[in-house]
Amino acid sequence: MLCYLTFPTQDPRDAIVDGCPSRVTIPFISYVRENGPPDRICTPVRALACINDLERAALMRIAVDIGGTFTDVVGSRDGDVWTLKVPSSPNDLSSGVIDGVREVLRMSGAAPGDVERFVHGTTVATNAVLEGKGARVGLLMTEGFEDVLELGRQKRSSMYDLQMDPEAPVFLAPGRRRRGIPERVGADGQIIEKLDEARVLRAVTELVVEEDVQAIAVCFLFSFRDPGHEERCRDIIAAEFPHLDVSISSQVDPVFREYERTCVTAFDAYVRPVVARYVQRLETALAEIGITAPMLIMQSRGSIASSSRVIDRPVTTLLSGPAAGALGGKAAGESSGIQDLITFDMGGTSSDVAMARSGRLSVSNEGRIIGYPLRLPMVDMNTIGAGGGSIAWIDDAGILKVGPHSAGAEPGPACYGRGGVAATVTDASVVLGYIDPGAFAGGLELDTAAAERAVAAVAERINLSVAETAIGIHTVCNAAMTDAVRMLTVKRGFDPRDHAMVMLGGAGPVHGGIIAEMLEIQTLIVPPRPGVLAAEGLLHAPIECDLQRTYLVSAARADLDAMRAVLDGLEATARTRLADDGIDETAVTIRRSADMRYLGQSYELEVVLPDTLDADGVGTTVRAFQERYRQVHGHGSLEEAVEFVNLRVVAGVPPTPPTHGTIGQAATTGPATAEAMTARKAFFGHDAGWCETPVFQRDALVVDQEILGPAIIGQPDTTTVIYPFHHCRLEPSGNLIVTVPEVARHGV
Amino acid sequence: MNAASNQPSLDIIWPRLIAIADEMATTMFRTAFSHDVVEVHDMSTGLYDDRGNLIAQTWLGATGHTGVMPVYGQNLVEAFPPETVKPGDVFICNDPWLCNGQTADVFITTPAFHEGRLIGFAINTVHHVDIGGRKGSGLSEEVYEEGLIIPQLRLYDAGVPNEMLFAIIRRNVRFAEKMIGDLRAQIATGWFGSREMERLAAEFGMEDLRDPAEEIMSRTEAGMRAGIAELPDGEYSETMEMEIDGIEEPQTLAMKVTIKGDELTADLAGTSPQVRRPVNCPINYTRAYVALPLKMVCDPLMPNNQGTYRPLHLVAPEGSLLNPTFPAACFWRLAAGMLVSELMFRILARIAPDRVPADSGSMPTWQFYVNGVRPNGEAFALHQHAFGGMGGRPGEDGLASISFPYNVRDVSIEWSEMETPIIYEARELIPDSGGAGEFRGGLGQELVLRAHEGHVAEGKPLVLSGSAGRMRFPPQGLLGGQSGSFGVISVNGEPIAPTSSPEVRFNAGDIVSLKLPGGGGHGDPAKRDTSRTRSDLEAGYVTPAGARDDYGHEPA
Repeated sequence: MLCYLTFPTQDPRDAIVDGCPSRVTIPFISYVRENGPPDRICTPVRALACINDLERAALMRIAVDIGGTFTDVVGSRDGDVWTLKVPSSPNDLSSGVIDGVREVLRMSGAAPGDVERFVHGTTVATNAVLEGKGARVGLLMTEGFEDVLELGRQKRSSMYDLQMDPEAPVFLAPGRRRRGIPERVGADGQIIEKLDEARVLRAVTELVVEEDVQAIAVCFLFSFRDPGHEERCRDIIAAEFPHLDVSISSQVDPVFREYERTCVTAFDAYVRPVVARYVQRLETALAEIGITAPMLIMQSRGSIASSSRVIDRPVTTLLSGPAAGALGGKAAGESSGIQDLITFDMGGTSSDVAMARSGRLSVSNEGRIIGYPLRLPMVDMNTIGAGGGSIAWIDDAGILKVGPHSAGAEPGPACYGRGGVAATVTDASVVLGYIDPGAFAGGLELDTAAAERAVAAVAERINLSVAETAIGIHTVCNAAMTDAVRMLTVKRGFDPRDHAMVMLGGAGPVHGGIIAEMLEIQTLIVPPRPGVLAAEGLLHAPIECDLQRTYLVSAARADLDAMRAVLDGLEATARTRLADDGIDETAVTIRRSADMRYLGQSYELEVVLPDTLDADGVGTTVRAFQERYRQVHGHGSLEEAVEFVNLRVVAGVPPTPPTHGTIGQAATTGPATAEAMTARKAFFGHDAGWCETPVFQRDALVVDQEILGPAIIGQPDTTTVIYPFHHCRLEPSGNLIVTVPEVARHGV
Repeated sequence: MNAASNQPSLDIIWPRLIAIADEMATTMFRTAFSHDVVEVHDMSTGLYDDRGNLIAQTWLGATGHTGVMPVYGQNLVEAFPPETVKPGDVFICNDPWLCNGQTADVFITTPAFHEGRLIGFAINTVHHVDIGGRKGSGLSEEVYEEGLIIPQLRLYDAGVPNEMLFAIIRRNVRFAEKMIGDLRAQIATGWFGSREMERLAAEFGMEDLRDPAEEIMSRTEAGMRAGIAELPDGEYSETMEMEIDGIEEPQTLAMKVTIKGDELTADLAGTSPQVRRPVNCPINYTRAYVALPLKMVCDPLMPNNQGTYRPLHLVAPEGSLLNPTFPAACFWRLAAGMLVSELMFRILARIAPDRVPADSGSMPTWQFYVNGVRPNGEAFALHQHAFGGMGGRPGEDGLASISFPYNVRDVSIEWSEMETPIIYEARELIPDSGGAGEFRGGLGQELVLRAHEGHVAEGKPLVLSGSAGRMRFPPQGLLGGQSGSFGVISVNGEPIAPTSSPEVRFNAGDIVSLKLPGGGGHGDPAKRDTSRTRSDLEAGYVTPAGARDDYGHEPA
C-alpha cells in the first residue's frame, strides 16, 4: 500500500502504487533545502485514493498560511487533501503564495476557476510590527493629552529591575508626530468643546509636509460616547489628503481607557498601508492566474472575514497566527468526535495553549503584542516562552531553567551542527533517543555528539548524569507547559481533566504524553500532520462578522425593548455585511450575547442570550451570569446588583465539519499490522531507565493498530513519543489517539 | 531536578508557586470593584508555608506591599497557632503595626490543608477605597482618626461568615458596596490560592511545604548575600530633611548602613521623633523601603520571598518617625517611607555610583484625593496616583513619569471622569524637567484639572489633599549630574507653599495644576553624547534653550 515518490516528481498523479502505475492524489510534503533550488526530498507518503477519472466538477478550497520560515498550502476537494510546504519569501510574500497555489492546483489537477474559496492566514501585519516596518504614523489627540501614548500606565513589569526599558509603544508615534486638537467630549457624551476643524487641517498638513507621515491615527477622549469629532476628522483628512490612511479609535476599539484605546488605534494605522498593499497585490496576482474566488482572511478571534472588511480594521489580523493553529487543533479533535479540547501548539521559541468548549474556541479581549496591550478580540490563549529551541540554564539559585532564551533558527540547537553550543529542549530529546537524528524535519542530519556535549555542560553544574539532566530539561519544560494549561482552564472555571488535548507543532507530540500525565488528561490526539495544521485550520474556520455596542445599564433598569432594538440593529448590520461579502443569507447563524459584571466591576463575563428575549429575558440572563461567575471565580453573590456593559452579535457561517480524510488523512485499512521498522534505545527516567524502544513509521500504521508504550512513531514533520504504559491507536480519521493510564505519578 | 528520588524538585515547585501567586493577582483584578485594585493594582498576593514564611509572591503587585508581606506571616501564626486553624477559616487584619503601616491596607488569609494537615497559607493585601475615619486628611494626629482598626480576627470561622464583623465594617466605611466588594474579591482570591496549593500538595503527595520552602528561602538568601558581599565593607551615613505641613521645623531622617561581609545593617538612629501628623512610618513599611533598593541593586531578578530579608538587619529607634509607637497617625506613611528608599539609594550611590540611578522625582509618589459634593448633595472622591521622572541611570536616561520604586498604575482619565465630576484639562510631559547629565533624568509630568461646572454643588469648595514631595528640595543629580525640576502645585497659576501633604481648597472655575518633579541627572552633562541631545530635541524632551543652557548644544 505504500508508495514512494521518487525524486524528482513531475506529477503526483502519475505515481507508482503497489508496483502499478496509477493515478493518485497524494498528501505531499516537500522540503526545500536552503541555498538552493527547490529540491524535493523523497518522503514516504500514503496514497489516499486511486483516482482514475479526475472530475473537475467538485469545487476546490485552498488555504494558505504564511509562517516565519515556511508557507503552508492546503488544497481540499471532495474529502481529498493536498498539502505543501514552501519556503516563505520574505521580500515578496505574495509571490511565495502564488507559487504554492500553482503547485497545489497542479497536484490536484484542479483548474483555477474551480477554486470557490481562498482562505489566507497572514503574518504581514505581525511582521511589520516585529520588524518595525509599519507606516510612519501621525497621531491626533485631544489637546493636552498628546503624551497619553508615551505615559502609558506607568507601572513596571520587572519590579526590581533598575535597567528596564520604557514599556509604552512610543515608536508608533514619537513626540514630533503627535498633535493636540482643541475639542472635548465629556464622560456623558456631552460636547464640552467643539472640534477645531482648522487645527485638524493645519496639524495634518504639518505632519504630511514636515514629517512625511503615511497614516493618521485619531484618538479623542470619550469618542466611544460620541464619535462625531473623530468621524469629522476622518472626513476632513479624506477630503484634503485622499492618499492618507486614517484609523479612528471609535471605529477600531470603542471602549474606555484612553491609553489602551490609543495603542490599538495607533497599531491599526501602523499596519494599515502595509496590509492594504499586500492584500491588493495578492488579489491581483490571484486574478492573474485565474482565481477569482473572494479572498477570506484569518482574524485574531479565530474566524475569517472578507478582505475588504479586514482592510477596514487590519489590526484584527495582528494575532491571527496562533489562532489558525488553535482552529486546526479544534478541527482535528472534532474529526475524532471530541468537542471539549485543549490545543497545544509547541513551536521553536514559544508554545500556545488554547481551549475549545462544545466546539467553540474561547475568545478574550485582552491581547498583547511584544509586550504592548492590544485590546481586541483574540483566541483566548496562554503563551509561554518555552519551545523546542529554548535554552536550558542554571540560575544563580542553582535552579535548572528552560527558556525564555531560544537558540532560534540560527544557530539553532546544538544538534543542528550550525555552531550552537547551548543545550536546548531539542538537544535533550536527541540525547534521550526520542528523535531520530537521521530523520528530522527538513532532512537535517542531527549531530548527536554535539547534543550530548551541550547537555553534559549543564549536567556538570548540577551533578547529574547526562541522561538524567536531559530528563530534567524535559521535566522543567513540561512543567511550565502544564502550568500554562492548568491556569488557562482553571481560571475559566474548567477542569483540564474534562478535555482531550491536541498536540500541534513539530515538538508538541514529543512532549504531549507527559503533559497529559501531569494534568491527568486521559486522551491525547496527534493529528496526521501536526506541522501544517494551521493551514488546515483555515479551511475549517467560520466566517464571522462580530459587532458590539456599549449598553451600560444596570440589570434593574434594563429595558427589554431597548435591548431588543440594539440587538436587532446589530444583527441587521452584520447580516448586511455578510451579504456584501457574497455569503448566502440562509446559511447565516446568529449568536447574541451580553458582557455583564457586578455593578462597579471592571471586567466582564460574556453571557449567551437566548434568540428571543422573552418577558423574563433580563432575569434569565442575570441568573446565567451569576452561575457563570460562580463557575469562574468560585463565589458570587445573589444580592449584588448586576449590570450590562456591551451587547454583542456574531453573525456567522459555521465551518463545514471536518470529515474523515479532510483534516485527517484517510488511514489505510487492512488486516496487516505494521511491524516496527527499527528500534533504538531511549531513556524514560530513573525507574524505567534506558529501554529498547520500537520505532514505527506513521505511514506504515494501519487503522485500529494498537501500540503500547514505550514506542516512537516517526513522520516527516514530527515525532510522537508513546511513553511507558501509554496506549496508542490509529483512528480511521488519521488521528493517533494516545490513552494515558491512571498510574501512580510523581512518586506518590 | 532531583531525578534520583523521583520527588518533585524545586525546578517545578518554585515556578508553580509563583504562577499561583500571579494568578491570584489576576483573579483579584477581575473580581474587584474599586479603582484602587482594578485601575491602580495597589495590592499583592503571596503563598506561605505553615510556619508563616513567605515562599512565593506575585510579580504583579505594588512594591510597598511586597516588602511587608514577609513580616506579616510571622504575625499571623503568632495570633493563630497552627492547631487552632481550621479548613474554611478566613483571617482578616489591618492593624498598621502588624500589617502595612496604614489602616486602608487590609490583609486576608486563607489556610491550605492536605490530608487534614495545615500546609500553608494564601495571603493577599489590598489598599481599600475607604476604611472610615478622616481618610486622606493631612491633619490627623492619631491613628484613631484614620478609620477602623481591625486586629487579627476570623472573618470566616470554618466556613461560617462572621456576620457581626461584616456588619461593623459595612457601617464604618464610605462606599461600603465597593469596599465589601473588594473584600469579597480578596476572599475569592484567597480561596483560589489555597485550592491551588492544596492541588499542588496532592499532586506531588507532599506532607507539607517545608522542604521546598526552606530550599527556596536559602537559595534566595544566598543570592542576596552574594550581592551584598560585592559591596565594600564599611559604615556609611546619610541624612535628609523632610517638610511636614503644620510643623515648623523640617524633620530629620537618618540612616547609617554597616556592611560587613555578606550582611547589612541599617540603623536609623538620629531620625526625628514621631509627629502628630499622619506621616509617621510604622516599622513594617520602613523595613520594606529599606530593603527595596538593596533588592534592586543586589539581586533584582531573583523572586522575592522571606529569604531576601535574612541578611538584612534593621535598627530603628522606637517612637521615631520611622518606627512610631501606637497610636501615631500614619495614613501618609508613604511620604516618609519612600524617603527611606531615597536615603538607601544615596548611600548606595556613594558605594557603587555605577549601579544606581540619581534621585527620582517619582519618589515620593504623589497621591491625592479631590473631595467634593455633587449638586444633589452626594459626596464624591477622586483618587489619583501621579509619578515624576526616574533619575538618570548608569548607561541610560531615567524613565519618564514612572512608578518607581513603588509599582502601581495611574487611574485612567476616562475612568476618573466617569466616576467623578472633575475634568482633566491636560496631562503631559514637562520639557526640560529631567536633570541634565551624561544620562538625563526622566521627565516629570503636569496634570491640570478643574471642577466640571454645573456638576458640583454651588458654593461648596473642593478639597485636594494627599501626599506630594520635592517641592522645596528637587531630586539631586549623581556623579556630576544636575538636579531635576521641583514639584509645584498651583491654583490659577499661583503656586502654593511647598509641602509634603498638601491640602488645597478650590472652587468651580479654578484651574489646579500639579507639576511632578523630573529625575536627577547621572554623570557630567558635558559628557552627554550629542546624538542623545539631538534626539531629545526631536522628541521634545528638551527645548532648544534647555539644550543650549544644559549641554552647550547650538542648533545646526
